[in-house]
Amino acid sequence: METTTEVLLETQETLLWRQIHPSFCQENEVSSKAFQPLDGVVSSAAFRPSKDHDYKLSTSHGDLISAEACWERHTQQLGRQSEGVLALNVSECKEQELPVIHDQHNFEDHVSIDFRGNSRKGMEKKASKLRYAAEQRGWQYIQDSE
Amino acid sequence: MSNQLFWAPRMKGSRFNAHTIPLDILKDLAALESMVLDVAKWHYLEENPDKQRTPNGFSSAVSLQLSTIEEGSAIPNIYLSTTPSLFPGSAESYFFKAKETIISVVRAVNQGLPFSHLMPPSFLSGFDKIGRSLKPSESIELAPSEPQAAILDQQVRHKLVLAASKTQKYTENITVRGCISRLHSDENTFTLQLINGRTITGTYQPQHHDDILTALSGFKEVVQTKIKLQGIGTFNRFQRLQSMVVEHTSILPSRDVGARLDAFRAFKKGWFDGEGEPFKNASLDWLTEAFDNFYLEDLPLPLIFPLPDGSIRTEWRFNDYEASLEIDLRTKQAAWLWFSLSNDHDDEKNLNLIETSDWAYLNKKIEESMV
Repeated sequence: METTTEVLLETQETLLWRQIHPSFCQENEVSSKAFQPLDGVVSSAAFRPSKDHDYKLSTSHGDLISAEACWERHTQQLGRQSEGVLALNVSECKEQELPVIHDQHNFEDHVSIDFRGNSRKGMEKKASKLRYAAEQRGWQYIQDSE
Repeated sequence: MSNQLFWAPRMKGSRFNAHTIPLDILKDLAALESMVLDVAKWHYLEENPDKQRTPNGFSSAVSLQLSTIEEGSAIPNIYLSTTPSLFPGSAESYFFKAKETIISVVRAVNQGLPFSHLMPPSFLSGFDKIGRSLKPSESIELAPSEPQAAILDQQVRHKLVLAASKTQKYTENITVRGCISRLHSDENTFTLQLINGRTITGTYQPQHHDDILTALSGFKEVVQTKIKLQGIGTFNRFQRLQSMVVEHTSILPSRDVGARLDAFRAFKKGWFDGEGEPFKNASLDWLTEAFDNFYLEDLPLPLIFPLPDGSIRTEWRFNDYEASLEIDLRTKQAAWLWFSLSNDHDDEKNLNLIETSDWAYLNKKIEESMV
């Protein structure tokens, strides 16, 4: 059930799980696009009128659900594709001046990284830095790692 | 010896815009000569039912020769050259009749009319070699000066060849990319696993053996060795590639643009968790060719990602710089962004990938980032 509760997440070391769609992986490298809200960014905004977008990147609260459980829910319960789980922490988002909102959207562990107010260039730069941080940390769960 | 203008078909397509004809098309014209001869002989025997065969000198006294190429897009002037022979009367008239018959058959297909009564069905298989070198956007106007068009393109070819063939197959010049999963070097045959996972078999010449063996040895690597094969492919009536005869091979770099883009061809609507537009083959062909033609060979190849809105994203990573290009395949416009990870240096620009100057800009920026 959807809820409107929104709390700014301040615990700097809390990990945020990000599911990586297989199409954003090539030779074990991940696209920065995996760290940007997809709707409404770059290609849409650059070339054609966009639909409704909220410019938020979906993640899951690492203190409330494990990376593996999060992956299983994403792929098995929700029937979506995921190559695996990468992680950011709240501090890395704050360094990019991106608010981290525990909004419990659909799930109580749902957390949004808020890109609102950023230009295409700003989003790209911040997403690249987030991707770099996540890659440095490494895969938190990957199907083949069992 | 006498010469007279016999046929001046018009070749249409970008390759002919400079009023030149690529050499591989000459094979098609040679096949046309062969069909003209067969059909001319058939006309002679039809008109002379008492004869069992054409007279001596019927074919040896006549030949077709490419003389000049006229503008618009490219018009090869094909002359009929005759030498005195033992053949009584003129073989030439049968050659002109043959030309008209071939034009009629193609025109009938263009107009959706029956054509099997116009020439023996077995002759239709000759179209397997005539026009095989044409690209999808190219065609041959067989009677450009006549009011009713007779246009030979790949679709018309397929229809004619399938009508002739008991085995329901046709051939086409192809370029495919994939991995070699099996090799029988004693028979010069191999199995190619295409990027989409399907497999085809093929034969090759000894000069291609080293490349095919290299690809085979990399089949079980984590990053498989990919190979590009060019040659003649055999398709069934459902336009499914069955096998090929290899004419050229090249081992591909791991980030080969064409091989990566091939992987997106099978994407169906909703490929991105219910969202996601499919990619058109023609658009992916265009981008593959554009990178082949305009992206400098010694520059690093980008990572390439499909985007749910049907565009393509390319990414480059250097020590202190990152760059991306998001390409709208419909408009061929792209959003370029280059920036430093350590300071505020950046460069944002819309590129028109139809313009070579914009590719030059891209090349220059990538080259500068490597320093």
